Amino acid sequence: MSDQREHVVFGGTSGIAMAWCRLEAEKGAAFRLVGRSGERLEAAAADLLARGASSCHTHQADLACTEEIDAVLETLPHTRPSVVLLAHGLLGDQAEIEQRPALALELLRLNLDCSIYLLLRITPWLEEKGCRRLVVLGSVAGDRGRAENSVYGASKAGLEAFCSGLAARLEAGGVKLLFVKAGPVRTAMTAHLDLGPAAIESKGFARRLQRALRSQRVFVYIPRRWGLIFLVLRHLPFRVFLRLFPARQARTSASDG
Amino acid sequence: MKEQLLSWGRWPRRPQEGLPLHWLPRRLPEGPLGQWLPRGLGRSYGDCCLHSDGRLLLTASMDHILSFERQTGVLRAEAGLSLDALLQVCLPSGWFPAVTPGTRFVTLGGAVANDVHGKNHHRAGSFGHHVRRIGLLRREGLLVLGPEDALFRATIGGLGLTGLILWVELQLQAVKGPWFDAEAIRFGSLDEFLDREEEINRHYAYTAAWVDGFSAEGRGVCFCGNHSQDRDAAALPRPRMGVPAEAPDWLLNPLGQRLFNELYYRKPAGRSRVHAFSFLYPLDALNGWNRLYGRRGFQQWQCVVPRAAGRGVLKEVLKRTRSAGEASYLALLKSFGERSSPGMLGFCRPGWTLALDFPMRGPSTSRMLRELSGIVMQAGGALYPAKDAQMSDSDFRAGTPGLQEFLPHRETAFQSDFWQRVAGDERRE
Ligand SMILES: Cc1cc2nc3c(=O)[nH]c(=O)nc-3n(C[C@H](O)[C@H](O)[C@H](O)COP(=O)(O)OP(=O)(O)OC[C@H]3O[C@@H](n4cnc5c(N)ncnc54)[C@H](O)[C@@H]3O)c2cc1C
Ligand SMILES: NC(=O)c1ccc[n+]([C@@H]2O[C@H](COP(=O)([O-])OP(=O)(O)OC[C@H]3O[C@@H](n4cnc5c(N)ncnc54)[C@H](OP(=O)(O)O)[C@@H]3O)[C@@H](O)[C@H]2O)c1
Repeated sequence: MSDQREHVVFGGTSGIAMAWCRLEAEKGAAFRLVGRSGERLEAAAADLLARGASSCHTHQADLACTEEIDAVLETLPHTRPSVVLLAHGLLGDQAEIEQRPALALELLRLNLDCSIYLLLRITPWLEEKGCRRLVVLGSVAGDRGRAENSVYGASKAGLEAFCSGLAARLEAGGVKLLFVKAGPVRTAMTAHLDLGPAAIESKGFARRLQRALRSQRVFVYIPRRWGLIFLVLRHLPFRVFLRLFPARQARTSASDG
Repeated sequence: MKEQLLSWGRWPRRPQEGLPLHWLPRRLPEGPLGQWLPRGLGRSYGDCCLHSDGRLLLTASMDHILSFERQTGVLRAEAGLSLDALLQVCLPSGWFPAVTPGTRFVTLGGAVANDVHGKNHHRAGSFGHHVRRIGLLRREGLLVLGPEDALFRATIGGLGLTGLILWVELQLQAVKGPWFDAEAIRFGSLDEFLDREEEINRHYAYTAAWVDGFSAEGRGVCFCGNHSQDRDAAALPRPRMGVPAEAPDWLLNPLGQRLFNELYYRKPAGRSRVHAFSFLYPLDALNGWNRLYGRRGFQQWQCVVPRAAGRGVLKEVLKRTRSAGEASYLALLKSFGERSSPGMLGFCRPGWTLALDFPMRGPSTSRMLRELSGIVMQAGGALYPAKDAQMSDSDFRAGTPGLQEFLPHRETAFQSDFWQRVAGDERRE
């Protein structure tokens, strides 16, 4: 019974992670969810169990805090991971950050510093126990910085650079990495934004993620069309890029959302 | 304006603002009186899911299943869970919603708040009969309610005006598999159908008749079915086709409609084994079919009339639509059984129910609907709020004997376009 490998999800209450977990639960998968809100983790676990998960354990931890990361990893060494997914993250409000730059540090701490810390800490465990795949959620925002989300974009670009190196290291240890550059997805993170018709639902994202997991690729865009779009965008001269994505006037008071 | 926040009839076309909820809130968001209205998947045709002067609490992402006992078929889930998602979980283990409307893209909260009915009303009653408990969030906090509570009965069919339903606990019905043993019975006239209906209802748990609105006799086809005892499972078909944009108006001219009805009537009758989805949810196969009515949208109109007066009223209503040159694509007729809605405002009561839809052609359409309503109200009938965008306050009062009992249970933080039109809080007597 305890022989079954478990999906380990950091940011287990994330909308994207949840959508993928639901698909896996229908196949009888087992889960360990790590997140900062005990109540939400319980709701997520109950949902996965009702949908057919064979087991689901939850671990409460603030993933922006290295001590708490250490503590939660203490409880995992005997777990045999199947897919390990990093889905926690903050989008932040650029206008607010510009008014209070200390907020940038908070964002970078979670999305970049502590994510790299977490990845470094779990590398030996992954190499020892093996795992089907390590998945890290990046963003197309990391491909080229825009005025409206430059801090968030920087965090994802940094994470990508790190993961590129990590992938090489892990490959030597027999572990495969999947770095996903996600386009806009409708989740709690983006609910206050007007995403337009290019955005997809978390369920559709999850199906594409399952497909990506069956392939051997290390860096993927989901949905794939963003690969082509950003290939162009990355190479546009700055002046042209600026015309496409002009900086907006700084908002005076951000809406509460 | 957010396109997706129109109601299903896409009329009236009023801009809506929404606040999405992803997790069960602990208390209602702040705001002045009448600021909020819960909203599910917006499958109501009229304006009971609209709040133009306030904001909608969007519940569709609040969709966790809280528990599911596969031995007893008791499922508790957050109110934003859709019947589509519920079916995906419960059908493989042999459970089915005890009552389902003609689309599976409704939320549990929406199904409770309109106390929806299905083709099996004559056997199973309405949705509210199968709700064991609800969690209701009001200004004063979370209340857990069951059928013994007056506030529970106010909330069933309560049009979202008694508080935000956080979760719903349902008793599901056991089925062998996803199949239906179905039969299509053609009838040459309304009388022929009405004479046979009782007998048909004895054989079939699910029945509903389509009536050709263009035919003077009221010919049509009765679609009946039972859950099949065959357990042969199959993958659930997903909706594939979609209507990407609003259709041009000419598609809805009388000639096109007549042709549609002729083809529908000529569809082969007889028995067959069909999947639950194609039997119960034929329209779900065409994503966004409501856009076929074009930019101007359409109006649904559904009434219930007491059995005694029924025959005459049904004939008169159909005759009236024909003479106005506004015959409906989809005229659906069914009988409600003896179990009235458990809700104070509930629509379901013994009698005949007829649902029609009309492309919105402006004042002439509205005028005709008022006339139809007059015929129904005179016979002691009522109109269905879930499918209404224009009933008058006096019609609402006359059709809702439980209104006075309901009023003290209102959550004053909530308001809707529908309610402002038919009740208006000021007019609490
Ligand atoms: C193709 C089609 C076929 C249909 N067939 C039938 C049928 O056979 N029988 C039938 O009865 N109806 C039928 N309907 C109507 C539909 O079932 C109802 O309008 C249903 O209430 C829609 O649910 P929803 O989740 O979309 O809710 P919405 O339309 O978004 O909202 C409906 C009402 O519920 C309230 N509400 C929603 N969520 C909550 C909550 N969490 N807490 C409190 N209040 C809430 C809203 O305030 C509103 O008053 C049909 C509709 C369509 C489009
Ligand atoms: N949605 C998009 O459009 C999009 C696009 C590209 C990339 N991504 C990336 O995809 C990932 C998932 O995002 P999502 O869309 O699913 O958003 P989401 O639903 O908001 O999920 C974000 C998750 O991060 C968790 N989190 C935040 N701060 C934390 C902390 N200090 N400690 C632990 N957990 C914390 C949140 O927990 P709580 O539930 O407790 O808040 C939540 O589970 C993120 O990395 C995001 O950057 C998303």
